[in-house]
Amino acid sequence: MSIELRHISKSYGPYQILKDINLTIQTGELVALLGPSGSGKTSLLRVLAGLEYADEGLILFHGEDLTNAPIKKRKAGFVFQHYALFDTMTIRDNIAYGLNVKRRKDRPSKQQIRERVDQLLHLVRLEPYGDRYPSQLSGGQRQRVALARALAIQPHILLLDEPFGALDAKVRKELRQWLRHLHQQVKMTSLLVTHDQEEAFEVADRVIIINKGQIEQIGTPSEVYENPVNSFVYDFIGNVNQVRGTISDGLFTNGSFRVPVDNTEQADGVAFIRPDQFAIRTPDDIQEAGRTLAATVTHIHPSGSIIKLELIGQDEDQNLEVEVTRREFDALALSKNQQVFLEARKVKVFTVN
Amino acid sequence: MAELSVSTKPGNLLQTRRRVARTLTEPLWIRTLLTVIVIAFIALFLILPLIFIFAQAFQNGVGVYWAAVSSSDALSSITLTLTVLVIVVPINTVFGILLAWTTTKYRFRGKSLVVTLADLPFSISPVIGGLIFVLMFGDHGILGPWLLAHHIQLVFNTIGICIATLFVTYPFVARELIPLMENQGRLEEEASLVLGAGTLRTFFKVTLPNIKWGLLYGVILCSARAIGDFGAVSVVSGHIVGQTNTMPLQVQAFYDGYQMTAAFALSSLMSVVAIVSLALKSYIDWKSTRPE
Amino acid sequence: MSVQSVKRNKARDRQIIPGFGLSLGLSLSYLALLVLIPLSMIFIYTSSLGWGGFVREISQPIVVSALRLSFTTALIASLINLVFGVLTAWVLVRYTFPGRKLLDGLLDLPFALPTSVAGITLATLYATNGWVGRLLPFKVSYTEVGIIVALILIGMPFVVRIVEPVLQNLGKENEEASAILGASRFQTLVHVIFPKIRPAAFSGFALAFSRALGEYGSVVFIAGNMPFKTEIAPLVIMQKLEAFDYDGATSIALVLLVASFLILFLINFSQWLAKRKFADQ
Repeated sequence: MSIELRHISKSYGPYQILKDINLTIQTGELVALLGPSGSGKTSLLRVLAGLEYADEGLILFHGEDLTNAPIKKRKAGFVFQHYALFDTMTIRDNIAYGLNVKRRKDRPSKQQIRERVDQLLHLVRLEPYGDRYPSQLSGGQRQRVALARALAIQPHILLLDEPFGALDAKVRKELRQWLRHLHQQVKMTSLLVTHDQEEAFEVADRVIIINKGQIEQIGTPSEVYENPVNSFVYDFIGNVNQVRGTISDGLFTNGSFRVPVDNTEQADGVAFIRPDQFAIRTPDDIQEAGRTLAATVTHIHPSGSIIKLELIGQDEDQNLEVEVTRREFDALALSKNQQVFLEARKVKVFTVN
Repeated sequence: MAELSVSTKPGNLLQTRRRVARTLTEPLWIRTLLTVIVIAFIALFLILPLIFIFAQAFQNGVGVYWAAVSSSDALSSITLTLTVLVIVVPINTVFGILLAWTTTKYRFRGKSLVVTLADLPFSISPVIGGLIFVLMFGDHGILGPWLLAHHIQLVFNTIGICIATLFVTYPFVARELIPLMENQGRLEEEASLVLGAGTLRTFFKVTLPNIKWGLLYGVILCSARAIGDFGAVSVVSGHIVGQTNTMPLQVQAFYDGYQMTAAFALSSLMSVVAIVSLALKSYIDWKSTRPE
Repeated sequence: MSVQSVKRNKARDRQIIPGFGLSLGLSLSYLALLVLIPLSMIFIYTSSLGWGGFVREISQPIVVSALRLSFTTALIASLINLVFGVLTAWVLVRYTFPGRKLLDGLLDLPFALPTSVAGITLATLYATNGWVGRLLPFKVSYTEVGIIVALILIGMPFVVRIVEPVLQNLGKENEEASAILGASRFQTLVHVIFPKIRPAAFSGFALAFSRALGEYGSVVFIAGNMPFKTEIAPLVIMQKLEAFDYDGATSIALVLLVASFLILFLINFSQWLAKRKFADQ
């Protein structure tokens, strides 16, 4: 079941929360909708589910226009951030709910429902917990129940609204891998809303970056990470160093730091360099002086396999962050207050409006 | 990016009304019907009687109304009720705060039992609230002979009315404060103590400002009940017109004597107090939920 | 218990805020003097009658009929209040209409209005020549219906005030989940919303019943107080007191008191049950 959104817009009073959204999700794809809070990602998901209606635009499920269809006709499974389990029902009753409320002629027999619930309990690995109440389960377990409940009605699409947002880091990581695995089994068209880029990159086939109600970029995780289309995406996806400077005659300049750019017009610019795209040099082995910044080490975070360094540039207000492997770090024998040269392997310059 | 900047919209673009999904609320006609039923129910049982009290009180004009509320019987009942109010409310406010403080800021066994027991006067018949003091202090009561021998009378007079009113109004302050103080926890008090303040100072500087609106509402409810109690006071008053009739008892005396205008005139005074209490409550709600 | 665990308990029991002894002592003394000792009079006095004496007192025909009347009218009135209370809470929390805040504020009127004022007002309003009474094809004042009308008025706020916050805290997510799973609005109401408000509604009902059972002021004016027909139990207590029949008065009081205790116990028990089963940690 593919999903297509065309020119979706929506506003609450004076606030336009979705601006002309166009996107297509292919059958069986798991797509992450990634954006900061207030970017409109949850609203988009709710419009898809039929919990809210768009002001303008079309929603097509497998080519069928469901823009104004009631919730039920969309056959969407929805997983809420705070689980939204029915806490007056047992886990079994929660999972069976969508089947029990079907019209008599569509409703499976009691026996069939029981078997289906058994299968789902097995799928989410909660077989021993069927007769408990939600309050007796941990957060991670509850979210798995919520997923089983959503899958029970055999939905055409699965919508997940920050499903791991309320869980602690360790459980979140486990569930992420489990969801990836589960999706490979059931291959259901899925849309996952999250503000956590690590989560989006780990789970999704494709990532949609959304900001202020508009789509900024769509691509596979590596496309988005390697080639952010604008400064927002660059900044939002992972840590990045920003070096301000000026652009003139096709050259971005900050002191001795010079990078050629396509733009020939005069403008202010920002150079984006990821922390792992710096090589630390001594004055002797600088290869390209124009891509090099002089800096002083102010702090070393020596834990983990990647060593994080905080540095301060020549103009005092330029803070820089660099990541090196432990082996590199040991070879360099760096210490605090040491002066080094940072040579950027990869730089992307955007003009400032 | 290029695709996003397309500004020409296709012709089949749907303009849809903004609306709530149908399965997330009831149909309009059901919402309207339920609202009308509720308004009618409240109008019939609350608003109409309230209007009726004032209509009856003023049916023979302002002059008659004034004469009724300024008659000596009415005035002495007002004086007695105010006397009881001034004695009872401060005492029960202090002990209500103390009870709420004890049961929320300390941990001890049997706490919920204490809270339940303290709430008893709220849920038992006010007539029983009067009866128990007759059984204690009346001539045939357990302490009766001893009190008689020492010429002490504790029922069928103003003291008896005060004691019975203390009983029936005891839970009101604590009822308002306990849930409030439970939610606020002990952290602020502990911080104050760590900074060197004593218990009393901590209470006045830290706890009291946090509970002032709840306390005010509790005091209002306590006062309303102190003015309006009928059952308990009926038992212990002795019903001496001009001496031991509080306002509610005087209302009964007027009513039984077919002095309808006087009965409703006195009722209207107490209704004004009730309405002012409700208005104050709404104001407190508004004030305490508003961000500072 | 080992020595070590005794030591640990002692440390844990120490109060952080000073003044525990004084606060608890004063609170308990006042509670005992004002409430517990006086209430125990009822038990002490009836126990001096003996079981036989107690049974003889409460099996008098006039007492039996008054108790039966009190229990049935209280039950009917609080059932009506249960239905309208849940409905009122729902409408006030979920719908918006002009005057909603005003109605919500007015609902506390029965707590603030003296019961004798409510009593004479209803008695006159529902009398056969009163504003409402003359419009009705049946008699209200001086009948059982009148008693029920008075008890509805005084019990009105209980269910509403307990159910309102529960509805406010319910959130929309559960209903949305239910709708997405294919339930109709009616199914969502029955399976998702009602179970959530049931414990609160039951508590409100029980409190309203308890209040109605002991109510005196608002009822005596509208009831007409005809022996065997419209005499409620608290009124019979009053009459027996005025006749210095303390044995009779105290025996009836004991029945009402035990009923109140039972209701309180039921409320606490059901809340404990609901908390243990469904509460979110």
